[in-house]
Amino acid sequence: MSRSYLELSKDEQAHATALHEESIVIDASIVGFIEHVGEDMMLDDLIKGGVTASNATVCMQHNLSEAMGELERYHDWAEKKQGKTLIVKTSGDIVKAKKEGKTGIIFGPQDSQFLEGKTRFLDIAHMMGVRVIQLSYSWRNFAADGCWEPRDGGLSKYGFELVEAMNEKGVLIDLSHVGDNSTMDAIEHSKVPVSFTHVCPRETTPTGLSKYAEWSGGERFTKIALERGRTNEALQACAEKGGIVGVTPFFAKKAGPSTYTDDLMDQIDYCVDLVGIDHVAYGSDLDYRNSVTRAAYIRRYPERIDVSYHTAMPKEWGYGWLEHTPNLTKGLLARGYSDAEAKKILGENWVKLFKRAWGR
Amino acid sequence: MGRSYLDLSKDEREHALALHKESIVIDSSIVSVIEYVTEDMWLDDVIKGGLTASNLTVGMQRRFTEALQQIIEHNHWAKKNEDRVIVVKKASDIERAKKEGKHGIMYGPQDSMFLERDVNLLDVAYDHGLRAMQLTYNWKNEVGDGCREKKDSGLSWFGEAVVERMNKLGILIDLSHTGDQTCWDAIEQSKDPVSFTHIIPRRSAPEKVGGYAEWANRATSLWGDFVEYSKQRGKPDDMMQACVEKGGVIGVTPFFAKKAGSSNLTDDLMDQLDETVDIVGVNNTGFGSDLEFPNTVMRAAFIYKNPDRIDVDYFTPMDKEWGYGFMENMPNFTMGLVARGYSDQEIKKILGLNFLKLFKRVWGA
Repeated sequence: MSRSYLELSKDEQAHATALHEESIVIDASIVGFIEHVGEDMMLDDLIKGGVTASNATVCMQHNLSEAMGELERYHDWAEKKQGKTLIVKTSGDIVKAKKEGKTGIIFGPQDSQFLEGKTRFLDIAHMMGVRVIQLSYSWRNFAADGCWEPRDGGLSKYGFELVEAMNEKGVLIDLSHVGDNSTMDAIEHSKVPVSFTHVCPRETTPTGLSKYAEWSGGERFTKIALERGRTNEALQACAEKGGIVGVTPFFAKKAGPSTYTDDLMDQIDYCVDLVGIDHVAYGSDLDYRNSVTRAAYIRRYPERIDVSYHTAMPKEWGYGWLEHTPNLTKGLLARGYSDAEAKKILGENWVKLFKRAWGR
Repeated sequence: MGRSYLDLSKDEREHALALHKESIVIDSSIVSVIEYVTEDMWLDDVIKGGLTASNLTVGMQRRFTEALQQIIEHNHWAKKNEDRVIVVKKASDIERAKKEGKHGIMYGPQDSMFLERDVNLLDVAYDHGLRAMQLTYNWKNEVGDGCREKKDSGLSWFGEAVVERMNKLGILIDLSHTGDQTCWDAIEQSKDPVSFTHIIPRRSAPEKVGGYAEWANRATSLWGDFVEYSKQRGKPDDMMQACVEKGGVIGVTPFFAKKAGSSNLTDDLMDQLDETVDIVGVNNTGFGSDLEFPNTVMRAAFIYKNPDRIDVDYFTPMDKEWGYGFMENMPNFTMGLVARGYSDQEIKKILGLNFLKLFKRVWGA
């Protein structure tokens, strides 16, 4: 058994906290929540958690005007909250956010459907700040087949054009939910490194059922977890071309009394072994809308949480608050990574890739 | 000063609670949440609050397909929860909900822009359950002008066609957020009675606002100045009277009720309700909470995260007295009515029978 983050000595803990504080920390996949009082809850949480920048899932609509409408609301919000946040358009903006104690927001749709099959619309999206796009969500769209489809025919003609257009425009390709064949097509065709912002290796995806997995579908959960897991071949091919594998805790939890953080570390260790320290990073896959619902639920029914309602991020992470992100750094130190290595995983690897994919 | 609902004797209190329990209680304006675990939070809450039926704000999208998706999603949700939920399509569905201890949901978008300027799409929406519709939200749309517009040019040609089709199909016209001239046009042109599901008399808008309103003025810019917005959302006496002369009903909302100082929300609401009854009579007054449940969920999350900050740097339209936005506190309303001296029969009318009668007339069944 590898060492648990709970076993750090007091000195090691203090060191982890200090390291976390001074590092650029990037969460490569969250779903934002900025309405009404949510406008501060998420920001306060990210700042408290020492998250320098996060890649927010936006533009999941099926048409451009509504997707851009959402970005308009984000820009208005960011302007109003400029003391705490900025919209990240260059890798330098992340460094700026760190320096100014803000938390940066990257626009990264998890589906390309909002482009309505028109590569020219990418110009508009880019102008509005979109810097990452997942080619498909878990389902088939105009560009690719998602990982939960029964069959995957690879990228469509438009899908290949979209890859080229993203390369040219400087938008990072994300393949986290994309099907295996479409994934390999994209890695092969892209001239710029690509990424998985929030995945686990299929090889190490737990098949035993955690409480959450059991609650949210049992065997069916295992099936979709495995489909969302990436093949070693894909992970290696991505890294060989300079890409990054963002490891997610979402599918990491094993059955039994293990901790969420330690289980995440097992996935990270495996990825580091497989693709090397320069190509591994982090993406929580946290959906803030759920965090808010959960918090309301717990306030209403304190006795029913972990009884009739389980969550992907358990109590250890406050039922879904990134103020607990320092757990990640503690885990990395517990696993024996050096400070420099931990910093790469925490954020430096992403910054380097963003710079390359975005052109600045 | 009217009597406070807090001054009820033990017997009066018990009487109010029993009366509430046996009455048909209709909330004519509420925004629900039916996703994930919130579906139970919402449904448990309205049932606990003794609400027989509620008019749900759905279909606020700008596109017809998306509005319809939301309505159909609610239909499937109701089917899944059929032991507790009924989709209300005729007035007797509300009576059935009462009898069976279920909650009736009706669909009443607070805007008409999802029609995409095609009056025929109303037929499709009706087929899937649409039974009420506000002609405009606060802003100008293709039908008319909202109450926050600077100028109000009344119903458009399309607006007239919409009114006519709503009459023909049997969809209740709601004018709560609509601008004055557009309201007048609609009242005049509609063959059926129309309604204001959640308003206050303009003259009852507090000049000095407290609680949420005061906070909203300094912390958000959602509605501009709150007092000004209260008046825009309030309707003049003659308009309310014109509405009820044609058989319409006025739903009074607590949203704009809270005065500055130590008064409580329920009593302030009762003041506006009393004024409404003065203006339009007890046979034409109802209730519309204007409660947005997604906000309720957020508020509960906020309180969970920052228990010390609620009522300090965050206020809500429904304060602590109403559990920061849970309809389980609806009996407060009935206690208020008892405190203000309404008879049991009058209270039942205000709680639901007035709206029920209106629905029956407009829907034709």
